[in-house]
Amino acid sequence: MNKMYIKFSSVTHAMRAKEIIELNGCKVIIRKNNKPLKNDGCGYVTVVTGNTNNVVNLLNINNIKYTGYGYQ
Amino acid sequence: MIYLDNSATSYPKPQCVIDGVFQAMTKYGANSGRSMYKMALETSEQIYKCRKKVANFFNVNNVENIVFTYNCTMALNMAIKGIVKEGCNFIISDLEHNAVLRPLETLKQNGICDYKIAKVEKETYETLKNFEKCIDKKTIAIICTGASNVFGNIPPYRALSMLAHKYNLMFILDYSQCAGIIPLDINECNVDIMCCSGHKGLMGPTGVGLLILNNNVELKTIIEGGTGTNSIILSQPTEYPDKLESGTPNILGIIGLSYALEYLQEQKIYKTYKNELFLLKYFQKYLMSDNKFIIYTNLFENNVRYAPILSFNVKGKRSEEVAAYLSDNGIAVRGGLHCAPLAHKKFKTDDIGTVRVSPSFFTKKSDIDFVINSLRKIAK
Repeated sequence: MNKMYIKFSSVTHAMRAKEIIELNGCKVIIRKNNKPLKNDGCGYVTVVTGNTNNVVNLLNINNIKYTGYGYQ
Repeated sequence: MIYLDNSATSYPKPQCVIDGVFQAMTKYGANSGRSMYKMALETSEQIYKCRKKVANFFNVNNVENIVFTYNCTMALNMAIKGIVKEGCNFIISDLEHNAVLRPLETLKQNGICDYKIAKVEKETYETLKNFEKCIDKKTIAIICTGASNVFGNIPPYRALSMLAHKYNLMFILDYSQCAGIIPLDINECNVDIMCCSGHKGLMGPTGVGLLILNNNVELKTIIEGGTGTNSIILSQPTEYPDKLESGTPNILGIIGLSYALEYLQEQKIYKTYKNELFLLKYFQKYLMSDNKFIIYTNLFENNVRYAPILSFNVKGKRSEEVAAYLSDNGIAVRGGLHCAPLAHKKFKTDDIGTVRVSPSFFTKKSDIDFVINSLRKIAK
């Protein structure tokens, strides 16, 4: 199963994202961004497992600000 | 002690708040929004939960727009100084607390802006007329209290919000005396910025205030610093709530407030408000029965709404003297000017102040009877 990583600068945004993504049936874990890029500074990552097809759309619809995302 | 100074801060706190703060101290001892270990994330989660409860409590659309401050004064300073522009003008009511007056007066003395004071009348349309007369092309906001912290009277803030928006002005509400007592729907009332303390009617610990933003309000910062986010960038983050929450928050206070909000939801705050007004009306009836008392708050008036606050004096005595006498008899009330010089000037009590009585959910009728018996002696 694909894992999706979404980066947030704020823990509040990460937690709101977790709540909304979980309501849509995915599992979400929040952790600190332990591989930050130079310009990330400190920040958080949500690790999403499940059907992640609609996740970016959900974040956009709910106006939750994220700083990047990727899959593994 | 019989505690009737809940307008200053509520006491006692519900047991669940005390337990919540203890739990915060023992279980959520890490800093929030910074580190990655389990306790730090759990602490952040507790802060987020409180943010959500506040959003639900006041019907705020976006949880990010709930900003934790250390008190209402700080929230009001952040609101006023966050929107001020050089040469602009604010309009405030004649019931405002120094938390509004002093920041504006300081800005005025520094030549940055000016402010006008509009009189609150018993009739809403007259109040609106007074505020409307003050509006000019430099006006950027109307600031109004939810209720006088001295006399309890509630200005028509819903109508004032409509007036502000009719002229494209911002509407800032100081809801310190009402939050947790009189329900408020920020959307329905169309408030742009709401400020309140967490330790009064909301029954939380001291050291927590709320700054709530609505309608896409953008505030400049007055405090910058570490937020645990974007640390490489020297500019302050632009996103709420981080933009306005620099430095470690009062985690114990916020978790305590979280429990207090749950408690208030369970108690149904309408009932609490009714009970507090009932007790004060009972007290007012006693004061009315003896002409040695001067009553400034008339809860029996039909066209004025009141928060559960009553101010009075004993003829021939300063308010501080009466408050000290009551203190000696185990009763906690506040005398003096209550940091609201305008309101006292309006009621012509700026020379002697008033004795303010403010009950809470925990006040019983027998407490009021005890106060009445004590007052009988001083009023002889």
